[in-house]
Amino acid sequence: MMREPAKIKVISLSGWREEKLKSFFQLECDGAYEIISEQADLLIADLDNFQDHAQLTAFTDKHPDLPTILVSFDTEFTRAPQLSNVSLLKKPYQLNEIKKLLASMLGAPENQEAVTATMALAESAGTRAADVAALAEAAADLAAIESTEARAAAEEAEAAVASVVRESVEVAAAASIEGSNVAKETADVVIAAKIAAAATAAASVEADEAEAAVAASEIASESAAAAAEVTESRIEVFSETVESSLKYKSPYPYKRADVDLSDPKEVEKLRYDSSKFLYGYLAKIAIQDDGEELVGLTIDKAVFIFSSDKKTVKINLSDSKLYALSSVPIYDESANISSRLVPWGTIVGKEYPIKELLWDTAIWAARCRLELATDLNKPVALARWPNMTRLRNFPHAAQVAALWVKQPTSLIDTASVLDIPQRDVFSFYVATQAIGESYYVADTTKPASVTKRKKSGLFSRILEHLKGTDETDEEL
Amino acid sequence: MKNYKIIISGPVGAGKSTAVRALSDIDVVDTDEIASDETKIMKANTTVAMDYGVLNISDNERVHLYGTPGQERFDFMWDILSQGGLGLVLLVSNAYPDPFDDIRSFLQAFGEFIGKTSVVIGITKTDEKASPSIDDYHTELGDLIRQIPVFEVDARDRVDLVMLVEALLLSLEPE
Repeated sequence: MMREPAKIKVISLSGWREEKLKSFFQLECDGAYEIISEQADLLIADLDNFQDHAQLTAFTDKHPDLPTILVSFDTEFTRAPQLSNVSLLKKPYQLNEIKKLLASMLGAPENQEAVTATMALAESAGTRAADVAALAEAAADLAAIESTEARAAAEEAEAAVASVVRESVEVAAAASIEGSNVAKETADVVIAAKIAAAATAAASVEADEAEAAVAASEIASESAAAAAEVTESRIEVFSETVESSLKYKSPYPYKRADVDLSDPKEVEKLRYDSSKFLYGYLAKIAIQDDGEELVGLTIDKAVFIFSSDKKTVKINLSDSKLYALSSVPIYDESANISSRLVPWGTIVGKEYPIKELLWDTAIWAARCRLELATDLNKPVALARWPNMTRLRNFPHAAQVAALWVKQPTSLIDTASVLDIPQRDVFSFYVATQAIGESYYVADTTKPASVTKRKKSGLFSRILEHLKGTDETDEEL
Repeated sequence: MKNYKIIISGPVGAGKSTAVRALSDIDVVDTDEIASDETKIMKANTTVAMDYGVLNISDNERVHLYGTPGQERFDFMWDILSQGGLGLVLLVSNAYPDPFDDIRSFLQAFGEFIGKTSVVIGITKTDEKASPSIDDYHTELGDLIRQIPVFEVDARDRVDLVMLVEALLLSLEPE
């Protein structure tokens, strides 16, 4: 005569896994166990489902002596409650391992022959496949939970960085009046930004194991890097006493290393959404039809007034403050952005030609990255040479212009053909897109000369001579 | 010693002599005379043969800078000076009545030379007269200048001129 099935309570197992276990008990254990909700002989609980942790704790507090099997990815079982009769089972596990633990904790089922037979069956490939599927599901659950947490942390940190930078704009504005206070104020801002970056890094620590969480931590570290980059750049910019010299020099402080563009993950990390940056807001106004009205944009204390023909923008910020504001995402809810009609005389400020403004803010927002929709493989052409003596210069811009105006070339091939860093190609593409002077061409055939160009020795020497005597540090 | 040359041309008063002076490693040799023709309305002195400057690239390499006279009656000098040149820097004053026509005329006059080499266009004196804009030049001249670098330049500003020369040399780079 067979004894009654042992009663097993489960907590935190997903519905799918619970069904799988039920089926396993019924078919492979010959009905020796059944899953019930009350008066259990043994508890099986998954420690990785944080949401049910309170339920688990409440139950184990009531039944501290109940035999319990705890499963987790955490090899230390740090979240395990203190229990008198507990077995720990690390994920991934096979259902047969559960079965062995049940036998040892509750005693072997009566029908041992059937058990032995089912154990053999349980080791079949089909069962293993099911277990692997269960493992994948569990990993996905865990990754989703941790990824959400890490992303939230990253967003929080990014918001903190944006806030810090906006504060820095205010600090700089005050400093420009107070003069001698600027160094101290800037130092405070730098420290604050570093704290934000450190907080970002710390927030990503928990997201190390699961793949999705790793991606999230990369977002966090990107955010931290942006904070550091902005901070470093701001130090440079604030130390600049003659802002008129910025045109041909800084700020173009970027040193982003080349990446493997055949790796989708690497490419994904290069993407950014320009609509979240100052450039995106300016570009939107620049193309919208406002008739003859003057349109203004305010972001905190920064004011931008567009002339009626949209060719000029008046700004109450210095180049350095404009750079700081352009380099970080702007959050609608905190930035107090408004588009409204404003008189030209509302502010005293610098008048910026719209193309120069879009060119600059696009480069600063991109930081050598690429817009979400950028196609790395489509040939890019230039409608014409940009007016490069009046646009902020950066390394290799003229080389890329010379190539694209004659021979449409993809971004990937451009870096290869000219043998220059990807970052400069990306920056030039972003900048010329911003002023509407580059475009994709339909012809996808590769140019005949997708081989590295030999630099002309004479031309290089002439340019070295001219630039060397001009004391510029641009690479040739 | 290997010798090369870059030609700087354009109408009277566009800033050619100033540009040669800004780029040259030596004191410029000029052939200025007191203007006696219609040029005197624009400026007191004018170049009657050429302006000459040098870039000493290395111990055995020199680039000669030749500024041509602007008046069309000296156009026989343009052919002489441009022989063997690397390319043409064309300077056009934005303050003149019809800079579009000036560009058309000079591109035509140097057509054969440009066909073998390359050309860049510097629009000067935009501080005196902002219009037409660079966009206006492209709209008016269209395909004639589509592949030609056209920049606003201040002929006194070496940085502007270096960018112009860089664009010229990069336009000459072999495909």
